Amino acid sequence: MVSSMKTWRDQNYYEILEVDPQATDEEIRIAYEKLKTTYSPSSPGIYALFTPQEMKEILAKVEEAYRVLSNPRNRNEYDLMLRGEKTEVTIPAPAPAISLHRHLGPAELREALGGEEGPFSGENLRKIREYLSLEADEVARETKIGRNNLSSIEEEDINSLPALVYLKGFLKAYAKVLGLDPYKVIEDYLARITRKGYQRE
Amino acid sequence: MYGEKREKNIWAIGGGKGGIGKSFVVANLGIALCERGKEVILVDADLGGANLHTLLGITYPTITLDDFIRKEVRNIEDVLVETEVPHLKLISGSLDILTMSNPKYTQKQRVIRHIYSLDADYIIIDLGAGSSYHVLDFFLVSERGIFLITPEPTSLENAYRFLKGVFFRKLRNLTSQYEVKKIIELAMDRGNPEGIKTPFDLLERVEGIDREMGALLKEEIRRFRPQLIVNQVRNRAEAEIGFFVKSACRKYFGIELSYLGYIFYDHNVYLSIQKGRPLLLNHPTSDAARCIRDITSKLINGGELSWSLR
Repeated sequence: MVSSMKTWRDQNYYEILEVDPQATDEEIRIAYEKLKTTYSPSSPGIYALFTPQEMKEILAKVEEAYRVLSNPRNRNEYDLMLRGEKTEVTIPAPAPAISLHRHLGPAELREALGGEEGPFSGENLRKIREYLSLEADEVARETKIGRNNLSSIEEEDINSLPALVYLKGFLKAYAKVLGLDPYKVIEDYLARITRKGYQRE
Repeated sequence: MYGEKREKNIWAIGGGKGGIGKSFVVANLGIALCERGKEVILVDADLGGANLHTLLGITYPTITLDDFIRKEVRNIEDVLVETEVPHLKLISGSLDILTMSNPKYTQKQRVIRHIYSLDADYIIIDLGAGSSYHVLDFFLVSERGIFLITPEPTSLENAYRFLKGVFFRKLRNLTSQYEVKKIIELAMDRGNPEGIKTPFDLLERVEGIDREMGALLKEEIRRFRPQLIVNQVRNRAEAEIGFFVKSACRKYFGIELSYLGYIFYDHNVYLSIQKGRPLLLNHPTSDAARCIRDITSKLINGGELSWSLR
């Protein structure tokens, strides 16, 4: 990507996310995740360049850019606008966060799982989700896990599960939404599917 | 590709913070380039804290940059010493702390001029810690200086400050116009009374004073493409810090940094330094040595890491 000597305030969504206008959905998602970490208040040393206020503004722009570019219809509209074939674009409203700092205690876990506290199998993850009255679509939107991948995870369908590196990321995101310890979930889940014969690197 | 004349690459390696492995990287990059059949000269410009020679197994350099600075020898080639690696030569740093840690401007210019005249495929300059003008000016001998950082917050903080210093120093050196110089100096302090908050504000202001100068500075910023190496990386998340720095540089300065790669934290580095033998010779197949070879091939081919590490 060529630097365009434009301040981030004037950059278009592709420039904000530092991706090529032809970037795939996956590239856009990776860029978004990285930028969120880069401009988070805990990003080491970055205060030497940006004020807290500027970082907040950059993050808001990154979120806005991702909301548009991650939605095929909005992205298409936006591309038309960049080419001057359209004058206005819809910016989707931020999705309401469905789980802020939820933490599921042992008592609730037992209630959700009919007396047990684990293991975190696909079936049990689904039970916990239903216990929290979360729709699969809602979870998919919040975690950016595709609806199909979510089903595969809950069904422990080893033939359609994604490669290990993605699977781990998905399990982590899913565990967070459910208020579970991500590492425990990943450990339990991978142990189960490995026994079932999952071996996608 | 470049005709008969030998393409000469000069890179200075700096990073603001001390103890992050600059000399270690310089020594081993030099060896890795020689492994690929290149002729390499390493210059220890860590004035006042030189120890590149030690890393190359030379305890007492017989002749150093001191001898050149004091004009006891006329040409910088006369202070070149051989190392145990064929085609790898060294200009040892000054060991005379009192006189040489603070050279005069003309002395520094003479050293830089002579470095340009050296005959080799690659010339790598090892810089001291800090962001003093000497360090910044040596870093700016080429458009493609190499920043070295480690994943610690202290290193990153210093690196960003160093980058800022380099950036403003570069712009300042480009103009002889008093008014423009003044405004660049003002801009270095974020709380300046002129309200110049970012490099972009500064460029706008310069354009207002002198349109041509503004365009020139912009062009120079576009051509300025420093490179980045992250040292002592323990996991993938730490390796990804390189991308964060790259993004911050784009968004803050409008400069494109090439992320060349990372070097794993490796106990063999410690062992080789203790032994006084370069890693690439002492532990040629270690993880860190492998990383250095990867970086070397990126350096030679002008490549960099892509956004997602797999």
